[in-house]
Amino acid sequence: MTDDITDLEPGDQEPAEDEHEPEPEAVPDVATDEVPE
Amino acid sequence: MSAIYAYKDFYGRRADGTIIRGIIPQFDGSTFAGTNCGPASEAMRVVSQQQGKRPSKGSPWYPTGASIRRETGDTSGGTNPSQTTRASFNEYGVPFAAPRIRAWRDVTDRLDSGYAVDLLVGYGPIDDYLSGSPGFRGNHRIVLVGYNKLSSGLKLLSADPLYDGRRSNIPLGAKWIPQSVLVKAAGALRTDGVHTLNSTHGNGMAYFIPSLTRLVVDTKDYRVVVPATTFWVYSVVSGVITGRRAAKTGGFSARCTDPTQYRWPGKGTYTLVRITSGAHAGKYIAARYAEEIA
Repeated sequence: MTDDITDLEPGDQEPAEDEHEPEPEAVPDVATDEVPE
Repeated sequence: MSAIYAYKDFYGRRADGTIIRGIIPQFDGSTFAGTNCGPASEAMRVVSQQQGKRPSKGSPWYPTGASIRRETGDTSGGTNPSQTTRASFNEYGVPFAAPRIRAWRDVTDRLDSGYAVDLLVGYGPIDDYLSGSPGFRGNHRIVLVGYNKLSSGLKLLSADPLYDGRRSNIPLGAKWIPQSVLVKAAGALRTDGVHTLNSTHGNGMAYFIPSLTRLVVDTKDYRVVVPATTFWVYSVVSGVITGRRAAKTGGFSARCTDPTQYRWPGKGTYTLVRITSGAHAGKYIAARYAEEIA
């Protein structure tokens, strides 16, 4: 182990995508109502 | 199995001055209290996500329905998720997960893992079961903060901003509600003047905003072990991913934080750790390189 972190050089392969949860699709912006009191 | 909880030590002042525990009550005597279920639930989700801890900016702490409402600048009627999430982000700098419509299972999976879920509902089914405002059947927002699988079925702990005990027939504090009731309520949400979530998206869906942190009961220590590889180093500002750069290493290991979810607006939610020791302290990388230290 060299304990280094360096930028990629020409010819280096880009890292694989990290696992993530995709951004949800846009949803209707639902309003709430008045609670009668 | 015992119940699983998100952070739920909420409290707030009811209109008559009484401090109510277990919820942040929407009826706090402020001008828009009757339409403040969204701001009050936003306040609870933010407190749960912060594990009760005051953020580095913003006031009051805890937020109230009135304070979030004031920050929206909206002085008429109910609020919607985009207004309240923007308001709390502006005031407190607290990041939020994108509001979403997903299968109900996603709600229970998150609760089972200790996250809070800020849920939009049509109130009718809850009004029929345990009402915080008898006769109210309109759209409402509550925060779910507990999960308990019983032989009689799954119950979820509802921090309903209406459960303030202001009258003898009104529940006081968060209450356990059967999943079956909440599924019906989630589907009964009116998405416009005519349609419900059931009619626009099919049965068994829910419109919700999950918290980004969960209550971790037993603290574990973690380290990253990165082999010789290329990998992504993320930039995180105020809890939000702002970019990343590709890097390579001959391999290293270091202490790190426990895995935490971070939103990258427009791209998604990534689970990352921050390296806390050695030459790379402060860098954020994917949690798949992390392991618990025995």
